[in-house]
Amino acid sequence: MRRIPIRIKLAIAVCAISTVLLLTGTMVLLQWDVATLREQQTEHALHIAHVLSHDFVEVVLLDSPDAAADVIENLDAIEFVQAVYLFDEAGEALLKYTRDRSSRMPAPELPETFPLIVPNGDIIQLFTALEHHHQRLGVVYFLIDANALAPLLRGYAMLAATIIPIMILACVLLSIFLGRRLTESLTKLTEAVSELSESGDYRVRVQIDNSDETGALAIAFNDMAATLEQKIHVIERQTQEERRSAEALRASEQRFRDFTRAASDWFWEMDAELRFSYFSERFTDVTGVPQQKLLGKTRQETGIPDVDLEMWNQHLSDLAAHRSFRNFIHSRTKEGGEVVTVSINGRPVFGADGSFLGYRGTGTDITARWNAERQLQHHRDNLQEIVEERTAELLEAKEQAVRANRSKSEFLANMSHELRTPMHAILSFANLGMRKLEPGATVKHAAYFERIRESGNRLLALLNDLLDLSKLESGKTIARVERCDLNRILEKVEAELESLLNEREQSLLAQSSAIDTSAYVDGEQIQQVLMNLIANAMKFSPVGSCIDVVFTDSQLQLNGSKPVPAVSISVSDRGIGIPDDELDEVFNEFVQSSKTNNGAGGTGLGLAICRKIVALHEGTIGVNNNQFGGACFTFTLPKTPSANNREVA
Amino acid sequence: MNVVRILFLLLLLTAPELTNATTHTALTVELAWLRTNMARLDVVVVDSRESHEYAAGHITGAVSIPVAETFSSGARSDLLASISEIKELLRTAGVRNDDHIVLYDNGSFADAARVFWVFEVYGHEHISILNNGFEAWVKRGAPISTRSDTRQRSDYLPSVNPRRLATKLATRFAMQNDRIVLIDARTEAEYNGQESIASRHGHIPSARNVPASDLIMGTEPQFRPIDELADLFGDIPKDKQVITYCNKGKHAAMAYFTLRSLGYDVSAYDGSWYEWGNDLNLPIAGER
Repeated sequence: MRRIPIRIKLAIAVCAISTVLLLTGTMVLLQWDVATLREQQTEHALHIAHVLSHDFVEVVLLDSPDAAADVIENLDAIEFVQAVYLFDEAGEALLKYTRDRSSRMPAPELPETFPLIVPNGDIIQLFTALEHHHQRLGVVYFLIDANALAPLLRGYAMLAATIIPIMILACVLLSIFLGRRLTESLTKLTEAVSELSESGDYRVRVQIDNSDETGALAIAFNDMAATLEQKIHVIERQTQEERRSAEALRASEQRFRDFTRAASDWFWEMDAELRFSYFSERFTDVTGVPQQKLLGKTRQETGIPDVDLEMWNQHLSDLAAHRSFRNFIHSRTKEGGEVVTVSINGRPVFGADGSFLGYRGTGTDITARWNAERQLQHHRDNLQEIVEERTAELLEAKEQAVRANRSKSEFLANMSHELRTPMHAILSFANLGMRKLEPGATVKHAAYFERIRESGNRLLALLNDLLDLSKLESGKTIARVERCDLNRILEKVEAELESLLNEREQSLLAQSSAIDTSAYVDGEQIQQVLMNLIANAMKFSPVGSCIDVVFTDSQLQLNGSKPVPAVSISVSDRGIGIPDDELDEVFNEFVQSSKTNNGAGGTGLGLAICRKIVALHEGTIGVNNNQFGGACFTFTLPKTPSANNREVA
Repeated sequence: MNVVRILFLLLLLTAPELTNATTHTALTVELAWLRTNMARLDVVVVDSRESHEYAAGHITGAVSIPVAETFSSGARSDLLASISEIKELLRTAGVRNDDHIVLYDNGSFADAARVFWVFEVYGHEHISILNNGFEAWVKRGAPISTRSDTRQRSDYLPSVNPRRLATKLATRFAMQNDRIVLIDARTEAEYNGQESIASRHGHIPSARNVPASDLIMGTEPQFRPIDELADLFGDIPKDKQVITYCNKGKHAAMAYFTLRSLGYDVSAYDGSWYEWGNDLNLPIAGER
């Protein structure tokens, strides 16, 4: 019942009321009608009976069934007449009529006086005397049922049964229609309220033009909604701000947390009583000390094992004085025996009123740096010692090397000298053998001696070279410089080689261009150099070719001092040249160019001797390949004598 | 609850009235039935033959109401006896209003049918005709008597049933009404106007001829079987009223009885041709 909408309730109420009213009205009306009708009916029946009684006069007079049939036919049509009895003048029953023909109703007793009406509820009995010309013919008895209203009542009932539902239906429709009109405002209000509560949209307003209670209710609702809207607006704005600041705070906290996680350092806090109140996670990671062990405790209470006492006291005094501190360095030993060194920084925090609130600070794992520093210090302390040690070792090694080299050179020089003596004997006897050959001796024997002499000469040359080289290396050879014309020396060499040149059909082309070719040199040594170089050039140049010797003015820089005037002599051959990567090598002992070391002969000492002699004169020697083939050996000699070389006075 | 009570009341008011199931009396009874039931107090066997015939022998216990007694003793002896005459006749015979009257005659059925019609006109409910004449009864060896059997005088009170009695006016009305059929129970010759007991010849306009002799059969006369009789009137719809007439009322009564047996709403014209044929004001048909 509580769930049914008001307009339905209204309709139900109207229907119920109208039904009750209709039924009551109908009943009252019916009752009243019945009473009225009964009265009328009685009157009517009596009237009819009187009229009918006249018909019976004829029946009695004629005694004819035709007449009786007519009357009875009429009686059949008059419903309320239930029975009629006709009596003759003697009072004897003559004829009966009953509506129900099989009725066995006995004839009534005749009364004394006529007419007589005997009302008995619905049944009315009527006795009427039949008179004809003032002569009594008989009596007619009528039994009238005034309750023959049943058909009428039935009609009423039918009418009521038809009309009442129609009227009720009309009432229902009307009440629904009216109910809708009446509750329209309420429905609007209800819808608005439910919309407001469901959607939370406080902009909902109700439009009701009525000036009745619903109108007032609508105005009140609108006012309420407006107030709510304002308040909710304010609350929403506040909530939004709070949410924003909360988000900012959360973001800030998150940022801080991320920093603390990402940082290799850790963060700590102390309260106003200098008790630890916070450590970031990194602290435990680094030191292996659980936070719980330190939280809520002071430095004095926790203590640090194996801390430097001076630094510890300084740290405690800093804390007590609320001073900032940096680099409170100490070490902790973790469970696995690993030692970590940490550096703690802190600064006091003061409130707006200047009151001390505690400390905030960071800690850093400086183990690596600390160890590196210590190692570096250790190295620095030992470096000088090591250098001196190494230098001494090197000096000793060098002296040993020099000694060994000198021994080698001495050995070589001695050996060469000692070998030359038997060599000379061999050569002498070879020459003697040739000269003293019998005239009849075969050519064969001469060839033997010749072979001995040649091999001896070559061996002797080798020994001479070795001896020269040894002397040069051993430092026993000195250059006895005097002013010489290098051209003269060249001429001497040319003269010496003349037979060989002719033999190979080669020529020597000297170009001195108009320069001063004189220099302070050891003539013999320079002649040996030229001889070696030209002999080499001849050896590697083809038959019939030309050897170029060129003199040029030049300068030499000796030991970083000023350049001194010098003369360069270059000897160019027409040979196959020297590979570029072997240009320096050819001056080493026993080294020959890879292109010429096959069968050309030679000891491989010539160029080494040349280099030594030039070096003795503080000059330079080098080789490069000519543009059009062949090698070009160039040596440069200072014109003035150096301090090392003694001038032959 | 009130609503239910009101609805119940309305239902009672609108319900059709319960018809009183009246014990239906067979219009024809056979000899065997009579022999079985003749001793019953409420069964009154009525001999409708002449008084001398009755005196010569009648069914034991039967009372005598000669057919002549059913005619008026007044100037118009062709008409029905008056109310007071019938009252007196039946009271004298000792017939009570509720008695079952069983009629018989000599086998022509004309007398029994006449008495049957008269008693029905005067409102008696239970009447049957023995489907055999007295001869047949005698032949069966049923009890007969020559002694005048009398019953205690009754207080019979007649009524009149207008549906069984056709007046001249009603007959004239029927002549022009399609809903009422007129049956002429006289002979074919009389119907065709060859013979007449009245001054005029012919028949009432619109009447059709069903001679009373066609209704019975056999040497020991009986009414034809009901299906044969139905064929005679088969073309007359059951919802039509029928009025029969003859010369003076006996043959009309036979036709009346037959049509009653067939279930028609039938009445007989009391005055018959004797009245109609002599009334020059009334139209006739088939006049030669």
